[in-house]
Amino acid sequence: MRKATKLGFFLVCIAAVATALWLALLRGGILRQRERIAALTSLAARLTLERVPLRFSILAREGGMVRVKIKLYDLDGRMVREAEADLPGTELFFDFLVSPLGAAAAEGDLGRSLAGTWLAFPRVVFTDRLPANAGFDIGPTDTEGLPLVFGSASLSAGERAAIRAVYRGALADFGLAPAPSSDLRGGEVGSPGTRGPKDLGGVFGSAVHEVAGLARFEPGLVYKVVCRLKGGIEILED
Amino acid sequence: MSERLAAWKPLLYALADGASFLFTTASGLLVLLALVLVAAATAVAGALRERRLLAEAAGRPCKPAEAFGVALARLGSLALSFATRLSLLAGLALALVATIAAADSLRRLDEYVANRERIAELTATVRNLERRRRVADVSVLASSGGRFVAEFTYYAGDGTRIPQAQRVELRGRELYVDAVVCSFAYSEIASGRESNLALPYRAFSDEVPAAEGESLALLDELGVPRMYRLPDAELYGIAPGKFAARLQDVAAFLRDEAAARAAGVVRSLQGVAVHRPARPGERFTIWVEATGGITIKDDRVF
Repeated sequence: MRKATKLGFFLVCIAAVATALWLALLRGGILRQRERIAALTSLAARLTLERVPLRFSILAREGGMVRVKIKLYDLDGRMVREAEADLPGTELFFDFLVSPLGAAAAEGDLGRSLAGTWLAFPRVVFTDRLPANAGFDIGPTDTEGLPLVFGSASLSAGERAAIRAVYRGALADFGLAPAPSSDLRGGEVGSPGTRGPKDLGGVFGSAVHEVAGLARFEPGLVYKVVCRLKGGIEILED
Repeated sequence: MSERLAAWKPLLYALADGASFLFTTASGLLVLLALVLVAAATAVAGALRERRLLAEAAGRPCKPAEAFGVALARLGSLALSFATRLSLLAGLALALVATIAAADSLRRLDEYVANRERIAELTATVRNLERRRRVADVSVLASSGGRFVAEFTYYAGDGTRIPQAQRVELRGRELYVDAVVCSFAYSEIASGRESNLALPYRAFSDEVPAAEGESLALLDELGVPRMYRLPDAELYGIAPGKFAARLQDVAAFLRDEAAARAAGVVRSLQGVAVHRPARPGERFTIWVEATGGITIKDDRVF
């Protein structure tokens, strides 16, 4: 009888410990979710209606080549990269990957509330004569994989993680990087099939460009690429 | 009153154009000079003939020196006659200048009124067009060996599918759909709104440069994008005939920046190429947004 009582007590203890562990894990998961929700919400609030990640100027057009100077800017407006490139062709294309921030939140009210917020990641500059896969890279990242144009001194770790997750998801969607292992609800962007509710819209590329014979970028003038929160990208004279 | 004025306008314009041509262009001044020379030559010839007849009647020949003197005298007489009529000529010149100025002012007024009407019609046309529009459904039919085949099914302005689909085969693994986006600014017209119209016109890939891409068959026989041809019943604020005329203007804006800027309602023109990976079986829809250029949306089963 005493043996049975001991065994029962032992089993109850094990059940209690297991329950406590499960509750601790659940609490940890909920805490991580809350952190992610807070990061995404504050990130959405931080992103302004429009921002300028890139400015450029045509240095020369001669012999069927375009020489262009490009400067990248972070969220604080600081220049983070400067480069010059000689590209064959007449029309310059500035290619971005555009991804919904809501994709990082998966289903639920948060996902829906972020549905109108899009992040545009610079990817490559190419021309009408130079295909995109041979273009000039304008998507540098820091050591943690965060695109430099989304750097900011005031970003929290959660916000940086959210941006990284959206960026990695966009790359994976385009087959430019392996799909992240964990799913969206765990805090990472997953494969296209698990990428949040469909009505959030999917990742797509958008290359803004001049049109030969219609609208040409004038050498010597500075142009800025304006990325709007709703996903629109436009080139304007600075 | 305006009808009477309108009846006189052709005469006024013809007079002003004639005077303007004669006094302000090199050809006109040459014509004037030629007329003066002809008149002087006629007058001198008449005087010489008269003197020759008089000499013959007197039974003597008309000597060259005498003829030269007669010609000079006639030319001098003409110059004197011109000088005595200077006030009349100045008056005539003033009248011509006034005619040219009046005609020019009337023309500018006509142009201003016509431009206002045209801008109002263009504004109404763009407002009719600026609804979000489904342009094409794209299906990736096959993708292998570094190539893919995509089928474009286009939509008319009333939302119906156009039966003839277009197949595009390209090397690569991402399909780019390129469009000209025309941004209209209404700030100088009325409410300060902005609107974009987009014309998708070619497809290329991540391996095929844009210049070697495939043209998209989105224009009808008049060069107007099919998705912008609206049924008369859907139009508001503009007569169908005027809409059709202005629609061709708008279509021209998408091909000609000079025409676009001259119309006074276009803020900018640029290209936007949206793209997606071309995976077999993938289907998506290309939309022209009212305010955001073109976008790609996944096809959904409802």
